[in-house]
Amino acid sequence: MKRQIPLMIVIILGFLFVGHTFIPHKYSIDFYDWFISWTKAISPFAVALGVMSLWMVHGTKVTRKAPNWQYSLVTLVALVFTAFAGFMWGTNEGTPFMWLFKNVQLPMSATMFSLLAFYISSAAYKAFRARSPEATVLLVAGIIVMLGQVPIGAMISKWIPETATWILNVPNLAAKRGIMTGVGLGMTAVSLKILLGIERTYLGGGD
Amino acid sequence: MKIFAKIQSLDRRYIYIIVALSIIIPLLIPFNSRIDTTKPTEDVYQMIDSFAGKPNKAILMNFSHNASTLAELFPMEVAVLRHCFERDVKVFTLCFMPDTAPLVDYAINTAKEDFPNIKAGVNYCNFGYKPYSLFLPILLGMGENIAEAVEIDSEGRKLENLPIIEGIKNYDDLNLVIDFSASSSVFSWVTYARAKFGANVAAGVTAVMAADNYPYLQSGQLIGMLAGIKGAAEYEKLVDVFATQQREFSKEIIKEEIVPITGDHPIYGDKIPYKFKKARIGMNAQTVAHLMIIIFILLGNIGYFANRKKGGKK
Amino acid sequence: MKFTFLKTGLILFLLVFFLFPITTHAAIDEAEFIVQDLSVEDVKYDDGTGLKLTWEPLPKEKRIIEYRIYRGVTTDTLFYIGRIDVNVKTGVSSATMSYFDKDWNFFADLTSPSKLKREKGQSKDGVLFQGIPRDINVLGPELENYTILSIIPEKDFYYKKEKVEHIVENDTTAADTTNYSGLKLRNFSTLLKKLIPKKEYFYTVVAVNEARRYFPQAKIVSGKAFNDAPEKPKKLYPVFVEDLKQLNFEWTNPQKSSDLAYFCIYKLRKKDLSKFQKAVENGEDENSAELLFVKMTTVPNSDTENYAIIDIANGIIFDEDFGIDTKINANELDDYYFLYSFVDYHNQETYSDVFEVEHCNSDVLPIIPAFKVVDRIDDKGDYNTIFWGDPAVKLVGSTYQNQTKTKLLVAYETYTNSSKKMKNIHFEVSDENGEIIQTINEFFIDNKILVEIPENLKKINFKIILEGYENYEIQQQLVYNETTKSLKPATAFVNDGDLEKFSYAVYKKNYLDDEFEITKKLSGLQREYDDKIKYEKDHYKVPKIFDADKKLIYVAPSFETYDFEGDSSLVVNLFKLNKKEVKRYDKARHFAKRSYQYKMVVTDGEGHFVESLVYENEGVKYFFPKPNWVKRTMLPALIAGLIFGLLVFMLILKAKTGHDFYVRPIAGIEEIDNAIGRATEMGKPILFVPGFTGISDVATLASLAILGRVAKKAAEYDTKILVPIGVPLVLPIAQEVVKEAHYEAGRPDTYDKNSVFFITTSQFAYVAGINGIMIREKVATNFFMGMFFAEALIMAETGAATGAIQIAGTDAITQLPFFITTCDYTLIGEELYAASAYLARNPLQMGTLKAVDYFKLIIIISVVAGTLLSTLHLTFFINALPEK
Repeated sequence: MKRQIPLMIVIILGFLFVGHTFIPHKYSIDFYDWFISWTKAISPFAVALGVMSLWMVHGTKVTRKAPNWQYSLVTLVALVFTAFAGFMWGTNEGTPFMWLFKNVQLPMSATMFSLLAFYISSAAYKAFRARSPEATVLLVAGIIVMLGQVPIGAMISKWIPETATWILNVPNLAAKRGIMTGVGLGMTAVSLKILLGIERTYLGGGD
Repeated sequence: MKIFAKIQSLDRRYIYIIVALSIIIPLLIPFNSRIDTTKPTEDVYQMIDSFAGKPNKAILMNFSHNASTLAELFPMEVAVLRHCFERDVKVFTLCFMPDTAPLVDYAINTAKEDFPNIKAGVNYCNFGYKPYSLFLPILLGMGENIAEAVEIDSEGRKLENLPIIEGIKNYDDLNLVIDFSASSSVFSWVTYARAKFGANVAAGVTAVMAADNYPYLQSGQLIGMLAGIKGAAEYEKLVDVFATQQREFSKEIIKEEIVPITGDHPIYGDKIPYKFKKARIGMNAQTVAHLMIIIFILLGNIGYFANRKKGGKK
Repeated sequence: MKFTFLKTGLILFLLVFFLFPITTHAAIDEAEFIVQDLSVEDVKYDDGTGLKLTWEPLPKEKRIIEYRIYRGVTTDTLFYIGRIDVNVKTGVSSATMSYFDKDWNFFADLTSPSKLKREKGQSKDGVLFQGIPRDINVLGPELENYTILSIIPEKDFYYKKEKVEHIVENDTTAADTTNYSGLKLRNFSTLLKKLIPKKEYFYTVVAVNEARRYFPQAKIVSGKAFNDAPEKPKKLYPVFVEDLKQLNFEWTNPQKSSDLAYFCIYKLRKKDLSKFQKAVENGEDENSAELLFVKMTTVPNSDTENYAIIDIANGIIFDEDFGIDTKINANELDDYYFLYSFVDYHNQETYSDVFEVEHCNSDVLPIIPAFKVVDRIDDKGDYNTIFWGDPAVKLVGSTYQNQTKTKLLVAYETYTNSSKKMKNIHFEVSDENGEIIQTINEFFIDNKILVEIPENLKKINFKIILEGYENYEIQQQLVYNETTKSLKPATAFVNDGDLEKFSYAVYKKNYLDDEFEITKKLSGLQREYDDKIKYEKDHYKVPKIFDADKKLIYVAPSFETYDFEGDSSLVVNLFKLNKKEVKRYDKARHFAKRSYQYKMVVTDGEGHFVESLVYENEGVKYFFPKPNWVKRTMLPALIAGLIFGLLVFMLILKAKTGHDFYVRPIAGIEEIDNAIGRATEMGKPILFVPGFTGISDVATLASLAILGRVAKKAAEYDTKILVPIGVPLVLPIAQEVVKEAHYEAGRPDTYDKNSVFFITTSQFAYVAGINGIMIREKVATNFFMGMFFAEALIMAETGAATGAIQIAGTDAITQLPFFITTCDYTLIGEELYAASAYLARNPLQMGTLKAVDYFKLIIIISVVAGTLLSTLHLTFFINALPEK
């Protein structure tokens, strides 16, 4: 029973929502809107769960003085203080919370993102080797596209940007559409498996 | 041949430092380079420009990214705003993420500083931050009545009382939505605003995401796209060449015109403030970085072949 | 060494967190932050319900972040009503700031404070309060200080009411003045307010600075709103159509909605002009203008019909309702000026300037196209579609394709409607001398054609013919423009008439409306309009009375509906109806309010217009949009879905009978065991990242399915598995999956709840956390399964640097290249979805997997067939599939 009831809910609601896609009637849409409004109520609870999990993991580390427990302490202090600042003074412009956001959160996020540039270059350095004919095609295409993206490409030859666009729009797009079709089908298959109760790992446990 | 073996097993940190330098130096020392505009960018420009001076047309800029992608998207936003301010196009701005609200202000203020006559509520209006749960209601509601759907702007004023809203009722008037994002959020606009109400939708995206949008660009679901710093640089150039000169767009002119970002020039000279050529300077950095990476790839390959010739099969 | 580094980090961290920009609270002279020069003035041209506040903004240095506005009817209680935000950096550039308190705007709703609360920064005897509270003891008495409009959801209005006896004399809003509906405050979705004319209101403004400090309020000021004369009407176009002997008038409607009741048209003898002007100037009641026509307004005023046709064939204009009885002679029209006026409900009238009549013949008037109204299909029942006319094609731009300027790409746009299919378009391109350069036949309408032209051509003629539309020809020129150095499209002509000169105005009216109102004015190129007809879900009532003891607000229990048998509108009283009757009248009300008649006016906006008759189809005049049960455009998707379902069913059956399907081996999946084994050998943990999207993303579900199998294997080998989560909702589910896997493996004792943990929802902080785990815990095996964004490479490259074995699986196409270069194995797109089935290898899973393969075959066949057919100009197959 513990498994049957949730499964029944999934199957019934799942098919109702599949129906919604094909039924534009007011009843169908009103039901959908009403139902969707409930999902908003779930997320706060999930956030509470998340914070609890964070607290438990790092709290345990700190109390047990596990290796690198100092980092956990930093996490916990940051969590408490940011939340405190938000509750205490609000989140408007000019509050400590906003100050933290602008001066801590923003620059740190930007830093992580900018790491991409370095990682891309080292990944490119490793990956683009003319090991085989296919890899050579990849190498040449890669260089053309890279040149095509910057003004110097057009300075070398006006065909470079055009070829780059062609590579992006024709072979690249064709491959992408192929993958997208597969992904679409895969998604349908997984959804169908869930709807029919074939796949129930998400309920906890296997078959 | 030792050197090739060394290249093969180059510590990645050397690569990092060289990439860092090849980005930092061009940013500090700007130089002139040629920017060729591409069709997706021109399409966005032309669409916005066709609204110039029309009180019953407006564009909506939706900001759906956070600060991490500011470097790529911010110059775009500023360039589009500048275009609108130069050419008297009504602009609305909107965001559904709390972290984005300050970015909207930041973009507007940056662009606005050079236009003393541009006023909130008259020439532009920031709808401000709306909770994400209202995303669909607002998006769909604007198909009927914008003033009702959005209700108040970021300054807490009733939209219906603002002069800017006169003549702007729904997507028929607010005829272009540009979504600036580092994700695929633009498709909500395509699916709802375009499919249901026929609004024109364009995207401003990071270079990584641009590839995802090409299929939709081809099918016409997106009328245009600004892709990464390159799109921003192109847009900056378009604004310099046409909007600031109060000229109409012409493919023939843009093809030949070169706008220098340093040094003397009869028209542009040193008159372009730094913030309006930020993307082009960034583009310089990107050019050098791309070249550097290409050189690395070539070196890597030379090393690889040299090693193989030596018989060092692995 | 390490510890000192950490210590320094900690100190730095604490510095960052606790050293906020300390705004010196003590040293500020509060008096400098009080808003100065606050004044209130009446808003012009309105119905006496608008006031405008102006004040001088504080200088930029004061770092003000917002101005908050308060209003009250006495000086000792003022409520917060709104605010104006200011950008701290830029400040306010103008010399004055203003706030309009006018029209219907917010009064109270569920978000209002629950009880009377003093505003921040107010002392115990302060006079400023937060918004008007939901407390009936405070809100109730305020009802008489404003005109309140309440919005009540239908269900609350019909069924949540309480019958209360109360007698109000002269209440015209109620059918029965002895009984009222008492409603609790929560039954109202919103209360809106308007100011009462000539009543005194008090205002003040408070400045708030960057540190969110509320400063003392400005000196309280007061003002009264007055009902003013309407704004001055702008432009009237009197046109005499000589052959029809009719006078056409078209005018500009007022910009804003006010309390206008009528628009009037007058004639005035030219010689009487100065006399008339003097009379108007002196405000005399009588003047020499003679009334010709009266139009009753709609709400809003700007939607009222802005035209009139007066037949003067017999020289007499007579209208009993408005007391019009005058003579007009067609030959003397030039002796007259014409003017119009706006009249409000207080009988205040404002005249326009005077205009002379223009003469014309009916051949310059536009022709009304045949138009049709239908209930739009495939919808919720909230649209009627109006469509008309033949398709139109227009050139919109051109670009040279080569240096010699002999190749020209011409862009065109097409305009049509659902009833008129567009087939091939023929373009005939000729030069200035009419010599044909090229003819193009467009099979596939892609909005562009390529034309080869001789060099230095300054003008190109295009003749556009649409297949299936005989005697219909569009002509347009491309003309060289010196400033843009390109060929620009000139005006397009259709059968010698300007394609865009006239616009289409669609008017509508329901059973309860007295007058037609405009729904939309469309450009001359449009051929279709979807008219939104909203579902009614509220009742609007004006409450005046309340009962503090019962906590009720009284509203009239009546509502307007329509009697279809008697063919008239009627007002019914809720207390005189039983439940069934309420339902019946409510249904009638919906039907009456949502059924519309339509008519169309084609006009150039300057008096040259033609009005259609009200559209009628087989005797039906009113069109009611019905909701549909089937979305026909989705039928192909439904059929495809059914075929797929059938395939799954059949193949599962086949698999159950013991048929062993061949499935292509996927290296990434086969290596999963080895990867786990390696971690076991090394005694290091496994890291499993389930993507960065929520549980509603199928990729996450697929990822969790794989997690189940990986966790089970890990539990069997007794290897620790770490699952960092970025979306809170995924956390409990992932925990359950891992727990269950341990139980299944027979090792419930090794399950550690804290091994599946939440990090953060912030994308880059999440990846920073994961990178830290990889480096500190020295994980031996990384799984990245699910949907990833920009964090993918940062994660995978760090993993590669630590030397871990990495297996990735994602349907994020943009991230695939990054995974392929940095990971040992990558599951591409659908392989991620198939992985769970591969690992399970039971008939049900294998059946579905195989069904996907067969369905893919069907798709490939369709794609090839579609390509071939389209190449042969056979478009039926493509057209059968929906576009979006």
